[in-house]
Amino acid sequence: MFLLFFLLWLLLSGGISVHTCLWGVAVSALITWFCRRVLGYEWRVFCGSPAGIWAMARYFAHLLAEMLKAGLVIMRIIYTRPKGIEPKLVWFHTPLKTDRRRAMLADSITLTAGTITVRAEDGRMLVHTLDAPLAGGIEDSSFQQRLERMEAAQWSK
Amino acid sequence: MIDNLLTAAGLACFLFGLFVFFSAVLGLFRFDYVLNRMHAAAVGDSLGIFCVLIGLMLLHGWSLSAGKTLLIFVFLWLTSPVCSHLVAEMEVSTVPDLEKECEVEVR
Repeated sequence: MFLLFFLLWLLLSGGISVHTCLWGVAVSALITWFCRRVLGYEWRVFCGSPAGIWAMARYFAHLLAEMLKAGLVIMRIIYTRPKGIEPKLVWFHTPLKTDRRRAMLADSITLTAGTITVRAEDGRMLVHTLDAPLAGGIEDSSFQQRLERMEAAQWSK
Repeated sequence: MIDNLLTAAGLACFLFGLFVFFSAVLGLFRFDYVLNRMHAAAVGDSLGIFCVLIGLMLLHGWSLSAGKTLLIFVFLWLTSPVCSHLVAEMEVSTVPDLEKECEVEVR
């Protein structure tokens, strides 16, 4: 976490000099201490096995591709039939166990245009979809399958 | 030659991003219910921002400002779903007859 803050400092300050680095170290240490003591963050936010990091990178690449595809689909709906849509609210159950993965699934669903996670409680999710075909297979989406595989790999360690 | 190609690609991305934003605004007017309109806004948040920022990165070349542009992606895509979720939840919690607006299905 310290390293992350330090890199962010260097990126935002726009140059590497002794002065910048010393201030960066001081400020990063202070913020890291604050996050740990006051906000209760863990040290190992980005730690993980190389396979886990690779799976995460592939997940984000897949998410990006899905976001762009969904954007084009919604644009087509805007131009072709804005009044002929069948919006739906779908309650479904997610088999994901940890809150972190559930939050990732909810965020991924919301980032993909055409679907918005309205509510997420106790493993159940309420998703609003703009059109009926977008709601098809939402309870077993590719995001969920990938997250399930990543969760299974985490538990099997 | 490569500079010209990068400039052309950057401009193309940027202009397509503007077109996406135009479509998102048009969608806001064409859809007739707040939850549907949010989907139109989400197009601008995802595809529109992606095209505009990638266009800017291509136009400026790989520099510190490109790194900062990447940071904009990270912060925007971390915060935007949270805001959308809160607005949508507020709408669903406060509308008395939701079933009139859209079908509710339990799976």
